[in-house]
Amino acid sequence: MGLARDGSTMIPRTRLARGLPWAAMFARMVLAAVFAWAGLAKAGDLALSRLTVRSYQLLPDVLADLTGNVLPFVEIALAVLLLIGLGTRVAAALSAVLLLGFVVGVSSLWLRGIEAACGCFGTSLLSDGSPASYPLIAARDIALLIVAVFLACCPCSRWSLDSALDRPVPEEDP
Amino acid sequence: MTTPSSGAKPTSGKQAQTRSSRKKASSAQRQKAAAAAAAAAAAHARRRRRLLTWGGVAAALVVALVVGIIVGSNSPDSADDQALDTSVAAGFPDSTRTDEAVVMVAGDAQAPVSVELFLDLQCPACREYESRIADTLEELVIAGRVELIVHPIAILDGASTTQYSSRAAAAVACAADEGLFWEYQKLLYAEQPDEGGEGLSDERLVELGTEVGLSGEFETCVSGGAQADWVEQVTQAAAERDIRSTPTVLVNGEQLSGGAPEDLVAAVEAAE
Repeated sequence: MGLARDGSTMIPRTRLARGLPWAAMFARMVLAAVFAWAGLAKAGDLALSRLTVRSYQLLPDVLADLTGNVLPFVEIALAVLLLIGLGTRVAAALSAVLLLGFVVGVSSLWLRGIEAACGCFGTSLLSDGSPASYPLIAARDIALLIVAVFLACCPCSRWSLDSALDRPVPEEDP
Repeated sequence: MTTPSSGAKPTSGKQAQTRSSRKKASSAQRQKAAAAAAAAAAAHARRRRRLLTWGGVAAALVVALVVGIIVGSNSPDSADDQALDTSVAAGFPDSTRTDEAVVMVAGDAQAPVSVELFLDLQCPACREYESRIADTLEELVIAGRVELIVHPIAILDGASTTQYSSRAAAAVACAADEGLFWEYQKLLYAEQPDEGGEGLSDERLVELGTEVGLSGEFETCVSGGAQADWVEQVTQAAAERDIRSTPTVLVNGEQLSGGAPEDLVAAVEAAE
């Protein structure tokens, strides 16, 4: 693949290998945009965020409240890391874990027949009248999960702080 | 990067014959040293990269955690242990019941703007919404600017083992007939049972009624389940209007999307 194990770039040999860093950069931007949007929307109303996590009925209230408070800011932190491309492999892996959690959460609402708002981009307390479409949300999260897994496997993107750090350190005079 | 000193240099003529071999040795040594230095530099760069990477990731996550906990603990909500305010502003009109809803309007006049709330007594988001907008809504109704129409629909019967959603909606219908719908609904939201539990018993619903001055006929109405059909009818009518999720708010028939009191006021002003 033209990639070293530690995620640093080697000389790309094939067209695929040349394209990968661009694909990885695109993946980074997509995930960063989604997490920034989701995180900022939730952070604006933490009471709603807590309420939403509680409504999933997966965690005891204390943990649900902690999750509701912290999740929006973790999403924002991941968005920033992905945007600047620092620790891309770790950030992508954490994104994948988070997205897997969302898939499990939404699927469990579906399976248990619980009527709850997804709260994914929790902008408002109000419903638009129709119940959340769980299969659709799960499908979207799985698509994002695939993007995150790809990025964790290939964190070799263009325009990232990681690749700047990879560049040989200039010789310093003593 | 400097290479470390590479051994003794030939200094005397006596050693001239060995100079060339020494030179060779010294050049090999120098190469080795340079390679070692390069390796050290690479290792240094790797360390630096690892430190910056993990340091950056860890710092970002720690900041997120701390900010979340601090900001979160400073944003109270209706789920807090302290009891919700259940008082209703003086001058708030009595409720009346129609086929599909409970109506509250000041005086005899028709208010220019209608605010329709579709609420489920079991729904935590409805409880939160009610607690956020109650004061604003009461002001708007008392000022005669708004006709308040509440549809107590029951879509969350699955969230309790006793169909609390339907029973509570029937109970607020009983309260509506006595004019005390809004007062009683506030109390039921303050006492909202957790999802997945048993809900409040009919006895408890009656008991809570007495706290806002409901008794006699109200008690018979609640324990007899007299309004069960009405609740079904209200829920059905809402579904026919494509409303199957709560809380949903319509201002003059237009769906409201913002959940803050200011959003409601802005929508009412726009409709006036």
